[in-house]
Amino acid sequence: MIARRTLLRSLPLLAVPPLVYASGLATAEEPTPQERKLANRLELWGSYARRTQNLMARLSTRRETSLLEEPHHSTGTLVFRDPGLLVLRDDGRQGSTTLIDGDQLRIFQNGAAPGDPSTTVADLRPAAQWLARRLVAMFAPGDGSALLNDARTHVPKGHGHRLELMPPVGSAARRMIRSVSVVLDPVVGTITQIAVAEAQGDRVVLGLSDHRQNLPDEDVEAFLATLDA
Amino acid sequence: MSGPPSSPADDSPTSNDAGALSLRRWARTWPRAIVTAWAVLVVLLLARVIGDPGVEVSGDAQGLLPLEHRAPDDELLVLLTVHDDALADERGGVDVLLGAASAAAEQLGERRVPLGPPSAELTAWIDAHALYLLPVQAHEALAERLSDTAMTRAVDALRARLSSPLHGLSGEDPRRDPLRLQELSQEHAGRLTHLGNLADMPAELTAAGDLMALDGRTLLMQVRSDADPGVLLEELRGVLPSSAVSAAVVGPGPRRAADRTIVEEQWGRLLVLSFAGLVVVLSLALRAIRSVVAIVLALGTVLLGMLALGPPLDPHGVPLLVLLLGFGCEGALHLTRISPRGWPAAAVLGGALLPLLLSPYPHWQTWALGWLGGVAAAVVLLRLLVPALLSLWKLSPAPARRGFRLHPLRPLAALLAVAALAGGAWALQRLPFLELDRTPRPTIEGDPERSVREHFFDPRLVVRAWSRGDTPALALEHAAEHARQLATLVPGDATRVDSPGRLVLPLPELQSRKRSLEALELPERMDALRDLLATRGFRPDAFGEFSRGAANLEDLPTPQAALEGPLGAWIRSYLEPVDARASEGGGAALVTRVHVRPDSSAPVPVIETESGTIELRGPAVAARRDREGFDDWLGIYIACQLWLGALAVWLGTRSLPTALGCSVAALTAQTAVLAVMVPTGLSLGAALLPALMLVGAAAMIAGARACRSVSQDERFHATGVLLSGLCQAVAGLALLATTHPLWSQVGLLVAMGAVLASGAGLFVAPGMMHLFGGGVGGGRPSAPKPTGHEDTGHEQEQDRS
Repeated sequence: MIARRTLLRSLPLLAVPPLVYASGLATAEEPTPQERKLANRLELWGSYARRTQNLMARLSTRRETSLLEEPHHSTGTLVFRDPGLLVLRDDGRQGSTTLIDGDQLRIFQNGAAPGDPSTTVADLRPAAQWLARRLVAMFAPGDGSALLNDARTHVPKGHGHRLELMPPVGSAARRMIRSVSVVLDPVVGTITQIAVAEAQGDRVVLGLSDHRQNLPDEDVEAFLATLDA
Repeated sequence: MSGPPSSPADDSPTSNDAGALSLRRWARTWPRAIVTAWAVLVVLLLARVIGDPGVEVSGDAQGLLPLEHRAPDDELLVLLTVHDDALADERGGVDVLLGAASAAAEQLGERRVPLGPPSAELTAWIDAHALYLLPVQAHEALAERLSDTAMTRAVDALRARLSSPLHGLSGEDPRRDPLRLQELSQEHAGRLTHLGNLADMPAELTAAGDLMALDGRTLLMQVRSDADPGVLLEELRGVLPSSAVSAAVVGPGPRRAADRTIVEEQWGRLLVLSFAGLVVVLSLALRAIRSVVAIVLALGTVLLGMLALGPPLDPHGVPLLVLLLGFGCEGALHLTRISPRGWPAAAVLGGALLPLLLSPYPHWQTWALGWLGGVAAAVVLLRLLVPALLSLWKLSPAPARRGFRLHPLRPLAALLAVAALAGGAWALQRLPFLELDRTPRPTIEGDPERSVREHFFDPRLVVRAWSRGDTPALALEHAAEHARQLATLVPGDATRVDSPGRLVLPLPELQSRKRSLEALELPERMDALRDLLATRGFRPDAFGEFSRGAANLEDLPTPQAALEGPLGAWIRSYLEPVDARASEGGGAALVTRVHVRPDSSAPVPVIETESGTIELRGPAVAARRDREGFDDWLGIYIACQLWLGALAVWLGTRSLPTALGCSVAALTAQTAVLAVMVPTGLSLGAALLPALMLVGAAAMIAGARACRSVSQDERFHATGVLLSGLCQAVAGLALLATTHPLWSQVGLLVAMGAVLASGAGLFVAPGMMHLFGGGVGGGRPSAPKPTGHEDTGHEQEQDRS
């Protein structure tokens, strides 16, 4: 039998584990500098994105690829409509349109309709799906969890408000995509640049400007109607 | 009432069979000897069942498939799955899976067979021969695509697509095919690989030739091994990182093992449940514990005999074993004899499944004889052992209660028969079909076979064709011809054709294609393409593989070149051992796997070639063939059964109207049960054939008794017919109470059928007998004073009297 005196003396020791646990929690709750920077970026991004019902912006695209002697440049329009529609349309009939509508991913020439036989369908490509979900999440209202879901993040040092998203190591998307870099406007929180680095060496940079948020529905519908024209 | 009614006439010295063979007389004369012999038999059977070799459980659910259509046992699939919870949030499973696959491949050595060619070698082969692999019919479209206008349009479109951030991730590979010529290759189902479309199978080949799901969570390997799947699995688990990757083996062997486990878990409880049900029914009916014990001992001995000497237990056999108990009670309970000697009932019951000897189902062929043996054993034991035991136990059963006069109603009988026939014909069009290769089985949590179906393909839909030749090169050449013929099945009948023959061509065909391609002036066209690419800002060298491969027509994709090249090792994995197929012609046989669509209602594809019809074999082919002719064969089996049953009844009664009336009653019960199956949601298929035949036999026996009673102007004891039906229904209900979907279906069918059979026997058979000209006194007299009873051996009282 344990003596009463011994028992009474040992009682204070019972408080040690909870204290250690509590201190551990306190330590765990302390964000790292990287986490603080990530939270800052998301807060800045969210200050604009959380109000977005639809969005239209000017788009400039540059692709650096070994297929071409010089980088490919084009201009166009980006249209987003909550919850999951994103259209990147080049100017002119010689350009192409990228349509992301839920899980449907299509690339078709501006002169053709989305259902044309020449349309490239990428619905079943995991890397394309991963990137498409990121692109939609960049403009969709939310707390950023959709953006960070199934992705690694990195906030680079230096000037500019940048956020890097990377596919999970060892995932199917990782074999095709190295990183997606997002640059935010330091004042408004709009996305001004998206850079996609592909694993095979290509790099696509999308520049965004002239953001117009929450346009009348008719304007968006009018733009979408041009896709089938 | 202390027992079933006894027969005053059957065993009296004045009976017609006094001088003939009588089991009951033997039982009364030598009860101790019979019981002693039975005890010795039981000890021997127990020693065999409990000791070595024990109860053999095969678990083979594919027993209905003809042997030539069964999937090969030695071809197994190994499914590697990465655990989601074993990976950190920022880590995917592809690397882990590839590492695990590499470790497994190293352990398996030559037993591992690639599911596809090594991707780098395949790419190089296709790039070098892409245009040769296009059919001549596509050359006109090819010429159009190689025109200046079309090439300009294609290159401009490529440049336009480059602006899309998804372009590099969409699966398009402009370096290998800037003009998208793959679209011309209809015979390759849209892709210049043998794998088919991503929409059909969202997976890709790994560098080693395994299949990986596009989500990077599962990987499929193929193994050729005769080893026990459990041993193979343990071997693999020894080399895999068990914390991150789990392995499972899929194939006929593992499926059999899983079914064996299910049978082993359930057959004992099921038989105990069946016995319990029978004991309840018998106790309530006989109200004589000694009679019940004697019957149960006899049936138990039959069961022991079937376990020791009958076919191995499997998902199809266990229900028949239970039904044997329920239908075997017939021998103990029937009251009115069909004939003076009482054998027609046993003959009808024993021969119920004999028509299935005509069927293509190996399992039912075995059980047709096994059932006959089981029924014979049950009848002999019930007529020999039960009276002997009761004699020793000095049981004196009470005399039979008075029966009633059965009045046949011809209009009612005709009405019921016509209604049932119409209902059966109506039901045949509506009953869902239980496919031959889809034996229902309990849902297994985490079933790896289901994962393979969801992520890759359905192994049950893989059918095979063989191409033979004196040498592997000749076999491959024939396979090339066959593969192109089989490719016409895509996409209507099949989703993909898996054959190395798709990558080569016979030399005459190559010469023909070469002449056609030479007319296209490919070197000049490729020069034009390079110039065009340069003018549009592309680097022509980036498309060098395509342009060089297209311009070079001297490198022919011949079978010999393929066998000697880097794809040779993979191609040889399609060659079957010479001794297996050589005897059927040629020294080498190369297998082509066709993934057919899961539509068993479609006809079996027939592909004619110059050398004859390509024979396809596999479970799906057997299922389609079975479905094509099932209705016709069902009619043949039932007609055979009716004829055999009618013959037995006629031989026993020498009354054609009785035989015909009984046949109509049996057909009425069978068609009525078909009609009732529609609202109860049962399906019809080969797996349920024995249950349907047994319903017919039960109706025929019940009808023959009723006819006998009418024709001999005897009092009819409906209790006997109803009691027989109850025992059969109890066996069905015991099956229905299980969680096995197949057994439940069989049980429900038999339970409903037993009731309908009793009804058809009582109300249809006598009326139809009258319609066919039979009547009171029309049958051959059987006993001096036909009170019409036989019993379970309770003749002691009669003897004493």
